[in-house]
Amino acid sequence: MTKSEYMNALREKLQHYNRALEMEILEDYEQHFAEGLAEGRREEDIIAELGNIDDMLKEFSEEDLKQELEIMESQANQSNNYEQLYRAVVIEGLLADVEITASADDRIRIDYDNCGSKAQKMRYQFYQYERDGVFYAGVKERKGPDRHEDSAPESIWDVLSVFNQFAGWSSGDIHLNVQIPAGLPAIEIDNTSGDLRIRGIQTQKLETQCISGDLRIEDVDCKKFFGKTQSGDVEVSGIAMQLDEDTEIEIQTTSGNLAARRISAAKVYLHTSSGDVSTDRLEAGLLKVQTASGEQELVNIACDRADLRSGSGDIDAENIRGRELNAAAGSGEVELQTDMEAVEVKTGSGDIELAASARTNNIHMIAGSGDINLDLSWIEGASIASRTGSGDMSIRGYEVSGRMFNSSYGNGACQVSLTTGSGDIVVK
Amino acid sequence: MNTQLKKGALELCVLSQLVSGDKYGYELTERISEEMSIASGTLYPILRRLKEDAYVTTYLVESESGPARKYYQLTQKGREYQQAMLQEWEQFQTAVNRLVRK
Repeated sequence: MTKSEYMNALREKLQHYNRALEMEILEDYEQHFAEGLAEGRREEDIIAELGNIDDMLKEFSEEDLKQELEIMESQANQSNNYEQLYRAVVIEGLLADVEITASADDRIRIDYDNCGSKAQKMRYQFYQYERDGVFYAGVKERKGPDRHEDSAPESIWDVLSVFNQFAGWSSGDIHLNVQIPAGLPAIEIDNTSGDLRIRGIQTQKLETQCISGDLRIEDVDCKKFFGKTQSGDVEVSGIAMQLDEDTEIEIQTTSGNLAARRISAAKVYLHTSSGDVSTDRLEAGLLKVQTASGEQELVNIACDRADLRSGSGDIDAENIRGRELNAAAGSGEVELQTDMEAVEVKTGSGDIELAASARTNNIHMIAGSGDINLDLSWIEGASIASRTGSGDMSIRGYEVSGRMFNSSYGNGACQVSLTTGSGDIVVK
Repeated sequence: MNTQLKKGALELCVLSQLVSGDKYGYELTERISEEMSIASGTLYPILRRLKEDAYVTTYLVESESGPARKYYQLTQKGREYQQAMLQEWEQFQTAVNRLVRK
């Protein structure tokens, strides 16, 4: 018998065992042959020494053989209550690019593909295990030869996975593709430098975290979503949650830019430090956007209450509809074109520019040294109280000479109060 | 030989071989099959089981002879287990020796 005949027979027989076991034993035997041949031994001798394959397989327990079968059976019977199998899935990609998609059936499938350099292959490995009803999988650094094990290593339960470790020829990265079935209570994904992309999955709660990797989420059905990056950009689109339930979307970055399109939830919180925030077609009960130096560009928003805060970044909101809008900036400028009923704006040195709609009935604006520019041309009538410390005032074409000016026109229904320290006030 | 007994003895041999230092699969299986006239293939499932039970961990080291060598290393739990097994084995051996020689 030749080595290749022996290995084929081995491969054939290992098919009845779980995939991780199959891969590992094949690798062990390949290694054994390589070492033996390198010592100048003949293939037949190595085969004789390795011995009968069936005898070797007897060493494995029934569980190694049955596991997959059992799970296949249990899934056939319980396609709807997968959560009984796992209460959460936790994926840690580390430096790997992670892609999460929906599984066509009830199984979790994972493809690990290390196309990196030989050094990377040596350094990183795939792991998966299950503990207390939580399924964990990801990439970790291998333990070095002189590093000692302090904590007990996790027990590994090889189930439900297609586990491929490709021999890479080109330089590239490490990829982890995960297919997750619908209906799991929670999915948590942690990455460091790897990018994370999630598409078309369904769960109750989705939590994602990247450090420098980008985060991209499309068409996810869940009730809570939390996303966090440091320098990585975030792009979220197509998360439609019920507005009348306790639903929540919270996204936070440090320097990464944040873009959200087609999202809706009872509460939407978007925070960045220096990253810019942009939104389009956003619906919320309560919307909070907070940036330090990052700019806010918010388009097509419908919400009951909006709370926009910025330090030095500008706030620019266009077509923002709802009941109550609060905007505050330090040195940043605020430019609003809104359909809100009540609008309150405060800035330090930043200018304020507001175009109100026919629905607006209350406008309250305070600037430190910034100018105030208000367009009331859509409003039928307003009562205006304006005041400036040292600036000029022009109210509906009338150049005011004093520091304070009260006026009313039309039905006087919209209450307007404008105050600036040293800035000018212009009302059209 | 009783399979349970043999299984336990092989486990003890494998773990004991690792007390003095990490070894790669071929090195370890050669060492044991030389002395015990068993098929070295049967040791790989044992190694895998010891890893699953967290008595050993593995790491890869590049090799000139071909694919990377998988080294096996005892964990703290593995060391304790080896000690306990060794003690049991010695007691068993003493008892057997006493009985068979009388």
